[in-house]
Amino acid sequence: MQFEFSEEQQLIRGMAEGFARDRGASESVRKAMESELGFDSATWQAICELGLTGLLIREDLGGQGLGAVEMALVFEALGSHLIPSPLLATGVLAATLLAAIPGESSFRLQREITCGNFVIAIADFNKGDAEFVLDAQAADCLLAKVEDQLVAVRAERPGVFPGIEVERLTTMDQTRSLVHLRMTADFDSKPLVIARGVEVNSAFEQALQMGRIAIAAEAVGAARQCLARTVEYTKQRVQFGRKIASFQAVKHQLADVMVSVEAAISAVYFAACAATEMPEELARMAALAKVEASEALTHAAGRMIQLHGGIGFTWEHDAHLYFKRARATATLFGSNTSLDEVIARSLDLGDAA
Amino acid sequence: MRLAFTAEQEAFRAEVSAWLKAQLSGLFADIRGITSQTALADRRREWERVLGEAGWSAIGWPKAYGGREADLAKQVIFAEEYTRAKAPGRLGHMGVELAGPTILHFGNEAQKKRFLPKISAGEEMWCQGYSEPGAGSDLSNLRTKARLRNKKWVIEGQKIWTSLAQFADWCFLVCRTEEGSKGREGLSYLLVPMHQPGIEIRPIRQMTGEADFNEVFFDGAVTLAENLVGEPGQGWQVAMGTLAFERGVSTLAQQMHFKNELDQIIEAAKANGSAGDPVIRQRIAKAWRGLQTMRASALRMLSGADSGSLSGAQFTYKIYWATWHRSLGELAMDVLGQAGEVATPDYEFPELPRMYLFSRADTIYAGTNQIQRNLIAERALGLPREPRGTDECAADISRFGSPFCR
Repeated sequence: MQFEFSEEQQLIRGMAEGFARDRGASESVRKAMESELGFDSATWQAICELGLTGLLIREDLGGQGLGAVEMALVFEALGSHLIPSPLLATGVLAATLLAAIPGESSFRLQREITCGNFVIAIADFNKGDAEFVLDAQAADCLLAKVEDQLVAVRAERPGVFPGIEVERLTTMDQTRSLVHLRMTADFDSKPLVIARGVEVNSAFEQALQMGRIAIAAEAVGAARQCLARTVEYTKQRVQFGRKIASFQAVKHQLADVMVSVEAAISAVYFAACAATEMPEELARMAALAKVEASEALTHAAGRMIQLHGGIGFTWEHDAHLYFKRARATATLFGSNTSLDEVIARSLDLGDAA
Repeated sequence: MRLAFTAEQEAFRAEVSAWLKAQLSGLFADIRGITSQTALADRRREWERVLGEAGWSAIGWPKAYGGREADLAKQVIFAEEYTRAKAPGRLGHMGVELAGPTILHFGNEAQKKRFLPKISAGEEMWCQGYSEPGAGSDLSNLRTKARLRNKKWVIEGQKIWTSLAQFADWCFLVCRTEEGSKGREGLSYLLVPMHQPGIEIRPIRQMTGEADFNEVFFDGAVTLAENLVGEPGQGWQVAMGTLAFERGVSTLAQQMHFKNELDQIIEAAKANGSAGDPVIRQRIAKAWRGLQTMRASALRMLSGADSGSLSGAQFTYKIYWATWHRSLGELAMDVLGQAGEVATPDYEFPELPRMYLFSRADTIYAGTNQIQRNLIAERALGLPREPRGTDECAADISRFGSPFCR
C-alpha cells in the first residue's frame, strides 16, 4: 500500500502544471473558447507534441501505456485553467474505446492518435441522432455506435462527414464544445463497420467511465483554482476598515470550500488508483470521482462568485467560467443522481421502488 | 500509487484475523461487538491484558516497551482487522494512543521504563485531563493548579468531559505550575495516579442516557515530582505534541467501524423495504462516497506523515468525518423509522439509534466544527487570525483527541 505519487507521476504532474500555466492565461482561454474551432490549435499541437494524446495507448502502438492516475494528473492541471482542447474526446474517450476493440482498424486509429493532430469524437446514435457529442466540430474521424455496430467515419475535412449533419451548439459552458449530429438519408454505415456486438456497448461504457474520471480530475483542478483565487481576493479586499478575509462569516465559507476540495482530491486519486488496480471496480469508482468532484466544483465556484461580490458576477471576471464548467460537469457523462443510483445498485440495495 | 498490500502483509492480516477470531468466538465472545465505552468494563480490562500478553496492544511501539515495531502498513492492517472482527472498544486506548506516544516522545528514560511496559501490557488504563469548565475550546484558559511540596506536586482544581476516568489508573494532566501565569505559559504536564483520596470522580449523564464522561475534582491530590513530562512550564508544548501519525492509523480503524454502521443501515433498509425508496438510495450512495473519500484522505495523511508538514487532508479530516457521521446518524434514523425510537425500559438503545444521539458530540469534542473552520481558515488558508489567539488550543486538541473518544 502506497498512496503517494511515484517519481514518474510527479514529473508528469510538474510538466502538465507548467504547460497549463503557460497556456492558461484568461485571455487565451477566452479567445480559444470563442473561436470557430472551440480551442486554440497551437495549444492542441503542443498537447500532441507532449505525447499526452497517447497517454492511455499501448506502447507498441506508439503510446505511453499509462493509466488513470497519470491521466488524472494531466487533466487536473488542464482543468485548473479550463484550457479548451479535444484531448478528452481523443485521448480519453476514443483511446479507451479503441483499446477495448481489437483489430487492425482499431490499431491504425490508435497509432494515428499517438502521431498527433488527429481528433476523434465518439457518438452514440439513437434513431439517426447523436446528442451532445464532444468536439465533433473539429474531428478528423467519428467513432459512432449505430445500433450494435461501431463505425469509423473519416472526415472530408475536420468536422465535415459524409451523410451526417453537424450542428455545433452554443452552450452555457463555452470551454467545451458540444455538437448535435444527424444522419441524412445518404449515410451508409456498411462499409465503415469496424466492430459489432456486445463488445461495442462495453467499449462505449468503459470510455464513458474513463471520461468521468478525467472530468472529475479537471473539476478538482478547477475547484482548487477557485479556492486559491478567492482566498487571494478576500485577503486584499477591504470593507468596514478590515480585510474581508478577517470576518468569520467569510473565513468559515472558505474553510468549508477547502473541506469539499480536499475531499474531492482524495476521492479522485483514490478512484483513479482503484480503477487501475481493480478494473471490475471501474464503474463505481468513476461514479465516486465524478460526483465528488462535481459537487466540490459547484461549491467552490458558487462561493467564488458570492465572496467576490459584484465583481464576481461580471463577464470580465473568470468566476462565471468556473461556475459554468461546474454545471457542465454535473451533467456530462451522466447526472450525479444517476451515478449515485449506480453506486446504490452496487451496494446490493436491489431495485428502486 | 498503489492500494494493494503485499503477500507478506496479507499473511500478517491472516494471522491477526485468526487470532482475533479465536479469542472473540471463544473466551471473549461476550464482549464481541461492544461499542459502548462503559459496558462490561471489567471484561474489557481483562481483554486489554490478553491483547498485551499476545503483543497486540501497541504494535507500532519499540520492542523494548512491549511493541512489535510494526510498520505503518501493518498498523493499518491490524486496525482494520480489529474492527472487522468486531473486537470491543479499547478501554486502554487513551494510554496506547495518547499517553504512551507522548511519553515516548517527551518523557525521560525513567518515565519510559516505568510507564510504557504497563500500558502495552494492558495493566494500566489512562484518562486525559485537559478540558475544564472554563476551558473548553479555549483550553489555555485552564486553572487547575499544582504546587511542589516535599518533592510532590499537590493538585487543586477540576477537569471535565474526562472519558474513562472511572476506569483509569492514571491521568495525564495539564495544569498551571507557575503562580499567576496566564495562557500557554506556566503550564506543566503531569502524570497523576487516579486511585487516591484527593481525587473525586463524578459521572456526567449524557443525552444518550449513558455516562461516558466525568467531572474529576482534584482536592489536594498528589503525584511525585518526577512524574512531570518535559520541562516545568513547557506543558503546553508537550500537550500539543504531534500525534498525527497515530491518529492516522486509528482513523482507519474508525472507518472500519463506520463501515460496520453503514452495513447495518443497508441491512435495515433492505429488511424494512426503505431500500426501494429512491431518496434513501441516494443518501446511502452519498454515505458510501463519504466513506471511500475518508479512506482516501486517511491514506493521504498516512503517506504524508513523514514529511513533517500537515497536508490539506490533515486539516480538513476532523470536520469531515464528524459531519459525515452526524449525517449517517440521521440517515440511520430515517431508515429505521419509528421503530428506531424505541428504547428498553432502562432507556437503552440499539447501536444505530445510540450512534444517532452520540454523533451530536462528534462535531463538538476534539475541536468543534467552528474551531475546525477557524483552524482551516487560519492555518491552512492563511487568513487573518481571530482577535483572541485561542485558536491553536483547539487545533491541537484536535490532534490529541482520539477518534475513539467515546
